[in-house]
Amino acid sequence: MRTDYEVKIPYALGLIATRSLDKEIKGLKQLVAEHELRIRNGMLAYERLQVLRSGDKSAEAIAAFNEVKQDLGYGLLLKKYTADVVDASEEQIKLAALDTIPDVFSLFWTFRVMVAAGFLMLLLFTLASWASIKRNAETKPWLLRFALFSLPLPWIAAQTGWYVAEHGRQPWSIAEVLPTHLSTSTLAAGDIWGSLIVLVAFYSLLLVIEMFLMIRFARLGPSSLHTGRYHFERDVREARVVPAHPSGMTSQPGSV
Amino acid sequence: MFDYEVLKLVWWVLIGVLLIGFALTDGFDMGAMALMPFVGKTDSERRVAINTIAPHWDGNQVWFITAGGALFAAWPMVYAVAFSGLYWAMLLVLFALFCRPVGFDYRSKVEDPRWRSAWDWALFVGGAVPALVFGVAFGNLFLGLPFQLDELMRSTYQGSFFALLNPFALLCGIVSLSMLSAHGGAWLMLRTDGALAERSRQATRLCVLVFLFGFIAAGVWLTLGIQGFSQLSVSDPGAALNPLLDKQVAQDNIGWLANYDRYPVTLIAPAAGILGALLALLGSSRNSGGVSFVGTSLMIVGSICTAGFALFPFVFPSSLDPASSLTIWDAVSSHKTLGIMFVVACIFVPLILCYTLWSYVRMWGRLTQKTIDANPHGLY
Repeated sequence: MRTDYEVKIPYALGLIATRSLDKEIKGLKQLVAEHELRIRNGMLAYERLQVLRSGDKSAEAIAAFNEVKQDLGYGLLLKKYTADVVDASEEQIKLAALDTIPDVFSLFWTFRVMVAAGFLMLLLFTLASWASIKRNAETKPWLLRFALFSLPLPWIAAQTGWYVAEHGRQPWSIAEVLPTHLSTSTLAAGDIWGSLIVLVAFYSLLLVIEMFLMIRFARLGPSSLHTGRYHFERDVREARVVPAHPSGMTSQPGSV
Repeated sequence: MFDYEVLKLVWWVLIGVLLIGFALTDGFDMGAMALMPFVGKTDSERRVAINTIAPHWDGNQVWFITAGGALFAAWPMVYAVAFSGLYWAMLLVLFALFCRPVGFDYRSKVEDPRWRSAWDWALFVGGAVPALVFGVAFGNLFLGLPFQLDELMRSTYQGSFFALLNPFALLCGIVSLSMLSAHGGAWLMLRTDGALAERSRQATRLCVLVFLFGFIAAGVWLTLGIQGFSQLSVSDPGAALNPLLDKQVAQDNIGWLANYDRYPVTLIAPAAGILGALLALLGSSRNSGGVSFVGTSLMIVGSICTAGFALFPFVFPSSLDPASSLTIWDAVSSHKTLGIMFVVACIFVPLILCYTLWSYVRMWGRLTQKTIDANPHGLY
């Protein structure tokens, strides 16, 4: 792999990956090999747990289980391939070890998109704060346009961040304890599809209604709030988009 | 600080308190919206009804979310089995509840009567459907639910949504719907005036009567016709247990009545349910919103306690494999989790109660059509 350009931030990766400044950051191949060892240990743990469960509560049996119990979760990774765990083949162990590494390409890019969206928002807020202090935002169309087109940024950052967090921790629900495929409910795929479709349909309908209202009120402008403080209050009432109200709440003279 | 057994019992009480808190507060929101299209004949009247609960409904709904959260933290097994087993019932409640925030917010944005009427019915669904489903769910608890646990404590549920709609559960659904509607009706009597208050009075009386007959009928049915569950062997309740550990459960007729037999003082719960209903009837015939509201509140506390006392120590009985049944002793979190959460609850529940009460005090008073008509844009 060739690196053309780089900006180095010392120690930052250490903080993110190991929460320390001095621990070694391991490469993926090293991790797979390490996880394979822990899976083999986990098979032992599973076997010794079965002994305990069958009623043998002797001190030796408990000590033998305690020795390897921290790897029980790794043993459970094999449940995806074989129900009995202890009879896993070499190939299944290798597959389970590979499972412990999530897809790097998508993580690499979603993480960067999230960070980029975050910095763009930071930039926008800095510029917008400055313009607010100077009270000259209206004279900078490029800033207003930037603000308008930044509307999806929080959503993009949230979605990509969600992907980084959720895909990045696979195959675990609880790291090194509970594999995802064992923590899901036993609902049929049809139930999940059904609920997903209903949810998408319902929210799409709400989106249509929301857009209808948003566009309608964006066109009416802030005068549709009937606070009497904004432009065009009279025009709106005359256009009968919102009929006159009997309260006598009219726009204050001089507020236009 | 406390031993495990005491904490398990404390959390049974606390979850009961959360459920009752939810039914007492969000109960009148749901009830008022279930009655709104019937007691409100004009747009102004309907807006009066909506605006009586407008400042409170989302705060009240937090009781529901808290109860779900407490279930997750204190009774994780119950959470897992109930939320996946009763998946479609839960979704039905969820989708019905979706109708409320959008209903409140969108309704008054457009003046077209068809638009407003559509959202009124959405609000009706958001009030009536959850009230009905909660009762149906409670009814099914007495019959047991068809699930079993495998050796990794994963639950498989063998029933379907439509199997939940059996006659006894539907009767419990009607009890719950009429109870919360009566509560909502009493709330509207307290907070509105004129024709709306008068129609609310009549609705309250009708709902209380339905509740009274339904509640008594469900009790008779439970006594005569339904196999209860009893736990035969109880291993040490102070130990860390799981639902499959040394437990023998039998289905017999005495099951759900055993606690009432052993501790006659618990009969105070069904008595309170009936007494509350009589009080609410008295309140509605004297046109006193206050008396009616106290009555319907007593109805709610009484009937939820009636169910809780009957089921104890069961929380989620299994009809498929009674030994898989979840009880308050063996479906709970660890000692430490329960201890930490208890301290947190002791600090925050009173705090929440204080500011909730304060918001009611600030927003109290009768809401008249005049106020509503004077604020077409400031209110819902």
